Amino acid sequence: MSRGLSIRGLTKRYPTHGEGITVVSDVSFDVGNGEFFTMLGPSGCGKTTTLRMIAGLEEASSGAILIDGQDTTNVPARRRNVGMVFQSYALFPHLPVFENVAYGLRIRNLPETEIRAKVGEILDLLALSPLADRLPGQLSGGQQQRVSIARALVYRPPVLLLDEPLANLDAKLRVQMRDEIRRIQRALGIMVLYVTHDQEEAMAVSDRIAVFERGRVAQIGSPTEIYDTPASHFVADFIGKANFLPVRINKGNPVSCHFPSGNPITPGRVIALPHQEHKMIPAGFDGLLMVRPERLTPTDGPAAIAGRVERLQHLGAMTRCFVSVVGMDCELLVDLPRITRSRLREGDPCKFDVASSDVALFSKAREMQA
Amino acid sequence: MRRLTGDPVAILVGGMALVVALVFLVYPLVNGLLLAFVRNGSDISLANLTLVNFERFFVSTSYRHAFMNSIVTSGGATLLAAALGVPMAFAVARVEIAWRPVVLALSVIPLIAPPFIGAYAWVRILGNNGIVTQLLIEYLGVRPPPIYGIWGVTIALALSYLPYLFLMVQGTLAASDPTIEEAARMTGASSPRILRTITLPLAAPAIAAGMLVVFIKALGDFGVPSILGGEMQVLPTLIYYQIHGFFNLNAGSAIAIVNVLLTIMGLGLLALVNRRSVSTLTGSSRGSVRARGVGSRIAANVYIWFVLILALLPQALVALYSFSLRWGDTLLPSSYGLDNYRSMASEAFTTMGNSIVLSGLATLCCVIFGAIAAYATARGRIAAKWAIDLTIMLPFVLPGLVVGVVYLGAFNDGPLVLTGTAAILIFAYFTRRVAFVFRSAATAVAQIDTKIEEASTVCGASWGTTMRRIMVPLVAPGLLAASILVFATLIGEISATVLLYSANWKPISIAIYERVLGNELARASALGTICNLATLALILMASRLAGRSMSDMFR
Repeated sequence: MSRGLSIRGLTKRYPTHGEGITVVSDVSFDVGNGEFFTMLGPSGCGKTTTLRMIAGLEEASSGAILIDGQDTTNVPARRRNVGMVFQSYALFPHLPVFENVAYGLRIRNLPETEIRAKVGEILDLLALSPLADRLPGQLSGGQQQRVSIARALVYRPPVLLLDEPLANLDAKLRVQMRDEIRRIQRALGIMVLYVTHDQEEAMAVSDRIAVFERGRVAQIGSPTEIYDTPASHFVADFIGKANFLPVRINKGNPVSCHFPSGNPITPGRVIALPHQEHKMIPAGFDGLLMVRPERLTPTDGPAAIAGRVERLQHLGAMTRCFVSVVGMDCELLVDLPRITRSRLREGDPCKFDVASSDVALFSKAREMQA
Repeated sequence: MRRLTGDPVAILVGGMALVVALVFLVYPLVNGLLLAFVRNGSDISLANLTLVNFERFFVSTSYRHAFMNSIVTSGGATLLAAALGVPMAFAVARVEIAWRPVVLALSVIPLIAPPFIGAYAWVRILGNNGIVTQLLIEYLGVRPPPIYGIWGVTIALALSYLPYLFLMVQGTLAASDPTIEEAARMTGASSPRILRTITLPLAAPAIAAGMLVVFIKALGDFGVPSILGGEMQVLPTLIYYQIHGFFNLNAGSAIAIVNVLLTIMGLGLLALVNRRSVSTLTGSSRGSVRARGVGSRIAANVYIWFVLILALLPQALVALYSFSLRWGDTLLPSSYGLDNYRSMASEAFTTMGNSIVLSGLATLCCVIFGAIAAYATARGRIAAKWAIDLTIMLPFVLPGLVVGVVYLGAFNDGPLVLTGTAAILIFAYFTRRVAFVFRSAATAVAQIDTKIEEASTVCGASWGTTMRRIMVPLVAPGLLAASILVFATLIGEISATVLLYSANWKPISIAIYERVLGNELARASALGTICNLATLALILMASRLAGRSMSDMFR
């Protein structure tokens, strides 16, 4: 791919003791121009290191970084012409807002009139014009965040890198700012590489998400793909809520499974498995069946799972039920929309069904997937 | 990891700093260490190594006495400072007193004024015809012990260095979390019991650290024992007489090593205390609670002003003395005038000029080197903590006389001869103060998020541009304050100066010292007052620049 950003086999090893530790391992992906791409994962998964390698702030141990077809792997950070927004904003505390934003243009020796015009334009876009003469210390967190974005955008870099930009804001502002970032990205049509550990944030803004697990990319896909068809137990667990129920594979075609421990209320109830790759699984294989809490529907008829309501949590738009499953040593999460005005009470027996298109099967060991 | 190492400017700057460190810090110290193990007159070589210079500590009574006197006067000064300083710290921190900022500012003055300037004032206070002596005899019928010797040196040292201890303990007591004591009160403990079981144990590390600072400072002091010691010698004066009397650098170096070893033992104790200390500072936004009762406020004020007057008496007396024309056996001078200033004007002008040039250039060296070293340790791959720990100790471990001796040994002959020049004083001052500037700069650099530098780099700035436009402007205010403090305290420096100065470059501190030895006390006082006022003005300026109170700058 010649336009956009292309990452090929990027690896970062720290040669500490003996063989050293690998924090980023063989990461590859492509991001198109105008795309909002998010690297998502728990802390220490290598997403920020990957971002810093793309910025040039860390040296890659191996692999390549191509921007618009140009190999920039060994170009020093200051010549990469990327924009970056830091978690701590990293504003220059001794310079007023205007000079903070103008900094990159002054480095590029632009004429003063052009600097004024470009800074003015970006300050307008971010509604910062009234604050141009303030020092960073006189701004609120959200304003500092916007200045930091303006500073990174003013010289029109082909890529904007954002490293956990919302982590230091309070919950309400965080939602507001992420929409703002998305709006600016669409208005300017630029490519954004975004790092976050907040899966809800990633789902809300991204065109595509790369989920990182221990230095590797576990899955790349659109938010819905990652949520609906997680590629591994880890992804399913990290994105949203999920129930994992121990099951055993049955003989026969189509492939199906049942609860091996037995379930006295719904004896012999089987769940068909939807995906092609499940055909490879031998009968008698013990796996984990993943079901999202909102995909379980209460039923009076033939049910997949039966149990007893232990606890109800009222979360506003929905009610979360904690169900103890009869004959199984696990707790089942079920999210019911509040509209249903469910008759369920704590202590009631209950039954749930699930469509075979709403389940996924993983092996029991966390690393290997079925 | 960072691309700093690849930048040619960074390599050049770092390399120059390394050369300076080797030539002016490492070489003199190593050379001095070797000199101590060689007989006077022999070259440094493996065959000539001997312990003869240390033998005198066992065979010579003057060495043994100097050793014991150093321990007794420094130890006595430490105990006296603690006895006076801890209650004062408690009174200032825990009682609601008027004029707290004034009290704190005044408490710093003994640190600002070079101790030897006030030392001879003690003769006028507690000497044979001293003010306090006369009052004591008249009203109480007691005659205090003679001021020259152990008694006088101990008092003068204690009151000179008391502020270090007072400020450390006061700071800890004022900042400690009030909820800890409130929790003790909720369990039903009485006030004296809380003081004994909670407050004092929590302040103990600060008290111990303050006492050790006083001990180490007193151990390295030359001016006070040389003026008030009389026949009594301590290790720094012994070094001085070995060099001044016999120019025996080898003996001087050996005594210096013993002096440094005593200091290191003190520091070892400090490290032990620090390891056992618990953190008393919490995130509580409230300061400690202050007593408001009338009785405690009266008692606190009386005590605070008693100690303050006692500590400031010598400097006040120097000012009074400078205006006196005749002061015989009377309580106060019998006539006043400006004659002392008039007769000292041209000498004050020349020597103050010398002091300003010498201190100014030394400060400049400290700032350039200290800032580069601080940046390299804070941002580079050097084990920053190790380096910073070491340099915190350096100025403590190296009293002025010791720096003087090792500089004489290193630059008197050999590849680089500097004796008799201004340069040797400048570099000796540099050695004494660079650690302080380094620490200020390192703190300033450490407070700047590395991401700010990275943000500048991502914007396209080179290392040099980032330094010039981001780092230097950010570090400058703190560094400027530190350098003014260094400059001001160097003007009164005497213990390294007394071994290294030459007639062409006589600083004002030496001019004062010579007048005191020549018993021209009124004229010495005029010079001393000029010196004190210049120093005070500079430090006020520094505290304005740093936006900190004067007392904070010495903590």
